[in-house]
Amino acid sequence: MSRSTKKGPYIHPSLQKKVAMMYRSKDFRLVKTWSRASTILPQMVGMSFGVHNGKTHVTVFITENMVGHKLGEFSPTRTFRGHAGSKNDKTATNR
Amino acid sequence: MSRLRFMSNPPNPPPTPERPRRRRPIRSTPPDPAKITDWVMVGKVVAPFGIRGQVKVQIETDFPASFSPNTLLYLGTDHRPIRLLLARPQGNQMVLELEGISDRNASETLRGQEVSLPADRIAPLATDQYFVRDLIGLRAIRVDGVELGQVVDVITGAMQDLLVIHCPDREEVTVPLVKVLVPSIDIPHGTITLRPPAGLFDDDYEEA
Repeated sequence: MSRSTKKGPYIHPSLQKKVAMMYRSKDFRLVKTWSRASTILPQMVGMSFGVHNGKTHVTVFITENMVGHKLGEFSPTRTFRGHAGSKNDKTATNR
Repeated sequence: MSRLRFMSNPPNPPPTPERPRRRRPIRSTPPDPAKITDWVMVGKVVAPFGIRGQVKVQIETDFPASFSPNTLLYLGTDHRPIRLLLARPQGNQMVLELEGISDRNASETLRGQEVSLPADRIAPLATDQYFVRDLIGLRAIRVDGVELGQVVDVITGAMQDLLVIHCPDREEVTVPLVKVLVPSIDIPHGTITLRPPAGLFDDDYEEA
């Protein structure tokens, strides 16, 4: 069941406060957060968040197509780093 | 009379069908593995499959087209050339039929062996696409010239790939591989230029 439209998207109050402050000042510094359930708002585009995955803060750079998702979706809690020697032919893309 | 002659000798007799030529598969002489120095591992034999000598291979490449039929694969640490006859995907693995491997006993001997290709046989990369093996070991330098650390790992994700940078004076830092934060990558010179946000490589971050 989806969240009621009346309530608006969930975002942790302290995170919302920080985002609003940075958005006004245009000072986009890293915000470390434990609130994985907070929704990504349009004001967050271009900001970087360190989203806790239970062990460390994974840096997430917010882009337009992340809006509406939750921060935790981009900070995997289980990281499969491949089999031994499997980095040989894998590629990464600078998006 | 003339009509009868015409009927008996038609002006355009139907052409006799030519026998189709049997085409032999093009088989160039395999290059000497001893002369190839740069190898890329593209998979690993996990287990035999069935009783006809097929094997199941764990794919370790982003280019599954490397497993097209009639190509030469190289098995094991001694890079033994073997021709691929048939390949079909099965989940995130592939089932391969190899030349000269026709029963289960033969395929059992291949268990655990690496499948490699010469590096020059790998497909060219798209723009802004890099091999992970090329990125690991690059020196991370901030746009103002300050050296930050060294890339020790790359975590490939669905939305953003992450560079894991080992800094000498702090714990490992993850940097998303996006153009805003990583403006340039210079593999020949072994450097990667970063434009990190404030607080990523120092303690000037906010908490919420």
